[in-house]
Amino acid sequence: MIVNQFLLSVLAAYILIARIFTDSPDPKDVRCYVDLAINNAGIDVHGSFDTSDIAIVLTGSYGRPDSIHGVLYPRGIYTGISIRDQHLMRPDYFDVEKFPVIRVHSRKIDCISNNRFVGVFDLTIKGITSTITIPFHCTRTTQALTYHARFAINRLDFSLGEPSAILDNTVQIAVKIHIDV
Amino acid sequence: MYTVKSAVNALGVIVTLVLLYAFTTTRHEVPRVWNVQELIKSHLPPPDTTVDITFAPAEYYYALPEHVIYKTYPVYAREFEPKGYIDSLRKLKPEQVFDPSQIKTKQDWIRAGQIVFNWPVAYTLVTDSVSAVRAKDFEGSSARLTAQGVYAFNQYILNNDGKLLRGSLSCASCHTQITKNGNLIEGAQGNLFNNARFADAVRSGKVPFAAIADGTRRLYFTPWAPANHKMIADSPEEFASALMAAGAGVAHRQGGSYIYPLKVPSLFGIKDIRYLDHTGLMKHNSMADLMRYAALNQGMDMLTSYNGFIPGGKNENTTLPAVAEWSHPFGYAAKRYSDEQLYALAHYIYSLTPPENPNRASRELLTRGEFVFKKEGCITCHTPPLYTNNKLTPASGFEPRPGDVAQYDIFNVSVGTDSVSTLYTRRGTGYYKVPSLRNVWMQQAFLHNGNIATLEDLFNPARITRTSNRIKGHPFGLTLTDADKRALITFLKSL
Repeated sequence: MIVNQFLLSVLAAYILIARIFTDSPDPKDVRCYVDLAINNAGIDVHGSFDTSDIAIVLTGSYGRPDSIHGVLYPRGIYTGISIRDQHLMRPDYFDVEKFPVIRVHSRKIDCISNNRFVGVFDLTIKGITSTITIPFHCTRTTQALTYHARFAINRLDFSLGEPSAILDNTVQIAVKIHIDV
Repeated sequence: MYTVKSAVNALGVIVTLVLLYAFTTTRHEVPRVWNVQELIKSHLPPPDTTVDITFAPAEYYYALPEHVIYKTYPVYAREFEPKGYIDSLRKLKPEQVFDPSQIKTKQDWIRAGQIVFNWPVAYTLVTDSVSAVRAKDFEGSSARLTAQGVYAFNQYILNNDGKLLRGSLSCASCHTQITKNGNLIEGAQGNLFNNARFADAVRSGKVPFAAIADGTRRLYFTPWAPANHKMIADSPEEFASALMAAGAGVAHRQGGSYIYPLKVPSLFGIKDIRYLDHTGLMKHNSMADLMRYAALNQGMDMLTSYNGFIPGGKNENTTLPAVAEWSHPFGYAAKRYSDEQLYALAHYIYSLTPPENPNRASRELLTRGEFVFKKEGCITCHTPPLYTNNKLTPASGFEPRPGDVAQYDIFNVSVGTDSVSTLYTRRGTGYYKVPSLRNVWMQQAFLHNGNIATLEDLFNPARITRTSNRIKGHPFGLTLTDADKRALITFLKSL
């Protein structure tokens, strides 16, 4: 209950990043985007979450995160077909009534080269936690810092839907965290 | 002179004949149709879990006399009827045409099944010498005569008493289509029944309104429906208007609603379909399930207790009538099909194949249409090769019960179509099944109430917002460009 209240207050205040940077400019605006793609009968179906559905906490120095913690509200998914979006809320998919949030917590983050990282994360969907390795990198301009990540999950590992002759099991996920400075 | 070689040759011939006989005369074990335990297992419960549905016991069912199936004769519209035709029929002798002892092979069962398919179960005495059906009654009607002027909804029968009867309500009465060219196609979405003739008979009092009121009550009353759900007509005009509002390909079948008729389904490929009825009323895992469904639909549902209401019952619909007392409001004889007749019927229905699809289109247009079909997500529910995922979707306002997901094939999203038929009728389950799109090119009615006549209207966004004849639900393909819509419809009509 206390954790949920904390998360809700974060979202309600639209605070998308609270972090401690040393020797870094203060962020002016932070936006996070998550896009999904899954192959359905030979065609990629895309879903996306708006920045308002996501809360992210990074710690560490500017451009060198020590930890990343995120919360995503699957209720905000948009696939372009409203009935499909509604279906994804239901118990056979995200079951948002019982599991309103998706969580991601880093276990460790290693810098493998300039601006390139590998993180080991605990990803929790529908109460099922799986440890995944996600490579990511950052790009910088004078006004912004952006983290990019691409990875894939098997939806059946998280009990999202059932085996299907036409719907692929692999979901491609692209994450972008954009920080204006 | 008898030689060893001759003996071997003779033996070879005998063995060949025996093998030929064995391969062509597969041993058929006719399932016992009225098995109440099996009925309960395959029959989905109504949406209200407090409702009790009790089927007539097997002893009662098997005490009902069986149909004796005679040869039938076509009913012509008067303008096409050969001179003296009806009087000539009266001179004939009744001829029984279903004899299980003569059925040896699978093809025999199929041929016998076609006879059962066309056997009417409701009869009225023919007193005239010319047809009561007139071709002019079909002008402006959605119903059709065949090219030979036959009204295929009815058949003439000579029964064992030598009486000439006009029969109706065979399976063929609903599940037969007459094409624009007047060709008859058994198994297709039916368009035979001339609503206008019946509506006129109701309006004129030829069919007494008391019979209509009692009939609609028996046919449509649903004990668990809310008080504001209309189930019984108040006046002849009201009932006649409801009849006239229904277009082609739609039927006001018993257990439904006179205001919410149901689309007549195609029977082609039904062997692959996992649930029968628009509401998924019965699971279809075997031929025996289809046989039971046919038995229910051709009378036994009128002898089923729905929370104590027996539609065909006596004592204010509370008691099963004695066998001799049972009658249907519109003239059913109190009979049942024999198990062999239903077995033959199921063979025939399984054997039905559609006519060749006459629609032609360029490969480019079909490819584009298939792409749109996939992109719009149609393929998720209408999955090839059956173009259905064979699942049930909950109606708006219905939540699947906790055990339903494990027990039935639920695709847990509502497409928002009208929910009355599955929530407030005796056929209701809370669900609608995802229909197959195979042979959709032959359809004249879409969605479960059949209130959309064309695919063009199905994908017309205005149908959801227009002030008259607003039809909600199934909001797919409503934002397509004209080119994509045309491609999608072309693709669908190729299935």
